[in-house]
Amino acid sequence: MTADERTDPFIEQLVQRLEEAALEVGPPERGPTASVAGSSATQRRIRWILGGAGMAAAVIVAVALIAADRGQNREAITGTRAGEPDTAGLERGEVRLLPEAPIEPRFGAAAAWADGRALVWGGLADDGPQRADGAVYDARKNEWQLMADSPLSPRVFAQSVWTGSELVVAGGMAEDSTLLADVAAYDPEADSWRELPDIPYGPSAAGAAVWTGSEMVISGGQFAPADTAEVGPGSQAGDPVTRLPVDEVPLAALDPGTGAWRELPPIRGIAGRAAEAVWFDGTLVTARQDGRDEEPWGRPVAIDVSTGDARLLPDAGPAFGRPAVADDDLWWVALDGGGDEQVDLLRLGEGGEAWESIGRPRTPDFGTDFRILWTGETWAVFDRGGFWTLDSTMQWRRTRGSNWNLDGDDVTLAGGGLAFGWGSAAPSGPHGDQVGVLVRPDLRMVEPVAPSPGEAFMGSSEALIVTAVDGVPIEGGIYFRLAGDEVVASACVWSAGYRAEVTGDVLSVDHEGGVWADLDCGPPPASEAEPARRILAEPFEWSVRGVARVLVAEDGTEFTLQPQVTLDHLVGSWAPEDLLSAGAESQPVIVFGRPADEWAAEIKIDACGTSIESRLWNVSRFANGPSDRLGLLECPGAQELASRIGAGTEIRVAGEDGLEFFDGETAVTFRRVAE
Amino acid sequence: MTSSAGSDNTLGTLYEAYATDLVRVAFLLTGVQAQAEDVVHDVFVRCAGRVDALDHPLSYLRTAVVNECRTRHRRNRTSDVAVPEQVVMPDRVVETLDALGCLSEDQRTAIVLRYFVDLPEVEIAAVLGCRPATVRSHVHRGVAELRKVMS
Repeated sequence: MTADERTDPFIEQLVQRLEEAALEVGPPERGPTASVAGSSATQRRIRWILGGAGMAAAVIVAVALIAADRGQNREAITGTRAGEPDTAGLERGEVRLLPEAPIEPRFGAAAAWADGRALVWGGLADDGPQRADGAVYDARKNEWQLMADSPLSPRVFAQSVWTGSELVVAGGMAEDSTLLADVAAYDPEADSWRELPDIPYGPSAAGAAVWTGSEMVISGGQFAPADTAEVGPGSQAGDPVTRLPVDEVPLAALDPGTGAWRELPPIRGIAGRAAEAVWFDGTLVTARQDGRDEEPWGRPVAIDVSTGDARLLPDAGPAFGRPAVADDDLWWVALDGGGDEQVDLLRLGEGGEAWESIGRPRTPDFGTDFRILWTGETWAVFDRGGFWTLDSTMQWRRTRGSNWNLDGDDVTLAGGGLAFGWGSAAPSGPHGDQVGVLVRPDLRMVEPVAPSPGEAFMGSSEALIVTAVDGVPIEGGIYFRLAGDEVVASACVWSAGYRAEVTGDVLSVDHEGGVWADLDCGPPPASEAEPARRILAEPFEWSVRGVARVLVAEDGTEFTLQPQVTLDHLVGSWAPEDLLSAGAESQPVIVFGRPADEWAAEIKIDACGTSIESRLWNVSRFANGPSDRLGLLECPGAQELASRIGAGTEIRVAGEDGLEFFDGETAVTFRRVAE
Repeated sequence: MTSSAGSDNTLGTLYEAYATDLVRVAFLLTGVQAQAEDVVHDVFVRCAGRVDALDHPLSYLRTAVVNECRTRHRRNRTSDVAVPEQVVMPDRVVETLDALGCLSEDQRTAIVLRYFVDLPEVEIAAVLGCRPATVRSHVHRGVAELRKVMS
């Protein structure tokens, strides 16, 4: 237990009760009913349990299985599989299945993405034990090569960094759970290892390891200075398990060039172990991990390695998170404390005073072991359900056919716009018991497009906006109105090279509150046409007549935030006159702009035609003045509004229902378009 | 549990040294003594041909026991073959087992390995085949759930 846990009465009680329960079970020779006689408690309760086989039967089976086991010869994985031709790099959206590696899949390996190569060494193979072999995957050649033999013994959870020329591997945990302190560096160019001095503060595993540009800084993890070893409940003398001092976390820096370690002041003030960390702005950023209730578990901290002082960064929200660096910014990958592991990507704002959400992406059902990576171009996720990319509308898109069964416990790396995953295949695939992929995510990678039925979603209680068809986002959406089950007004929109319009009656309403309606999709009129945009690897089929599925809020007032616009892809705007003249008290008017014009607006006008309350839902960066597109609004209020929008117009947030996120470049988000 | 049974890694020696402790671990993971014993027996049966070659058989056996418990747990969820049997246990033990039963399989395993076996996170991670951070998540959430259930 950690020091904090020792002082937690509940943990103490939990340990006692686990031991108490376990002691109900005596030596197995006593047989399955022995616990009745063996229990000393006075209050007893009948418990229904499952029956089991006896020892005699087990021994009989043992003889047979021992013989069978000795007769088995496990086929070793050796050599490389014939690689595919050198492709000199992947196209956007390309997925490459890798040839079989010359080593077994494993987890907890020392690994790095190194200029187009994936380096993997050590770790724990699926059927154990710890390994001391490694391999290099060269993306340019699409082939694996075995690493030269390492001077290091087999281990898992070593601390490692890529220095730009070497993979430095420090410490780790051996098969007998002994923590290790020895260090070595692998040079992939020379395919050679060299030994380096041991970690000065002693053995450790699974600690923080970052590359500062000149030094490898490592800290924390599981470490066991001899004078802190003790035996805890459930252990006996001789058990290699040792406890952690949590008041001070060791810190040291290695210059691989000179091979010299610098002992640094221990980290104080985080009462826990530094683990996953990044190097940012001259500090080691990690999460405090003390598990105390009164302090958020995983609170971001920045550590000055020259003094050991830990500085709390702004609270990133409830529980669980880890730092990342992307686009020269510090990010926090926050997972909420619920059971569904919702991901929130937060960026540390200027001045470092607050985390800014990029708009909580509606997260698919990632498992608990997913891994989110920055490829250099976008965020991507490996999880058991597939490979996901955060697209330009801030929605996670699953890559088609990505049922690779890879997650964060496999080797997952990223860099140079690529994402690399390698691990066990279950069930066995074309490459045997392992699967490896190299992906260059396309920001618009989406699921396959089926011509019909279409899929679309999102809207308010009355005026509905279809944002996707067949999984393809419709930038700007399809806007229409319902009266009961009938579409009484609609406006077509074309974007991303196609046009879509809701027509006809609503077909059904499903249990999620979704509305199904007829949908026409087709090419835009010639007058509005812009250069066709390829939205998928496969061209979208024109003249699709599908079914639009429109999700509306249950109570008509609240629904999940949906990014609606990506300026990169906006090509039009519209303000359907028939909707404006429908006479409703609150009529939405939506105008979208072009990135070149640097303007975009989503405008709500109350009682259009009579007055404008200037309830701008959001307006941003009208650097080039109002667009003539606003002139399309054929109501006085709209004209007045148009005249008020100009350069320097500020973003406004209209309460809870107003703008949630808009930076003038990427997306417009809004909640409601009707009262 | 000691880490080594000495150089004499015969099946009998290892069983004598570790079986009781392993059954207790399996009992906390399954909640059923008979099933716990079955698990440990099966593990010894399967491992008998190779444990004599292992330097540190306890880690191997413990991992095998945990994996076998998890396998049976998954199998039992989709099977109706269980035959109920009555065993009397103290209320507190029943309550403890019931509380553990409220946890997910991963959480329960992490809690037992952390607070009964007293393994550090990296060793639990090695047993579960996951990252230490994932272990922390399981333990943290498991304790939070137990606080609710056991209060």
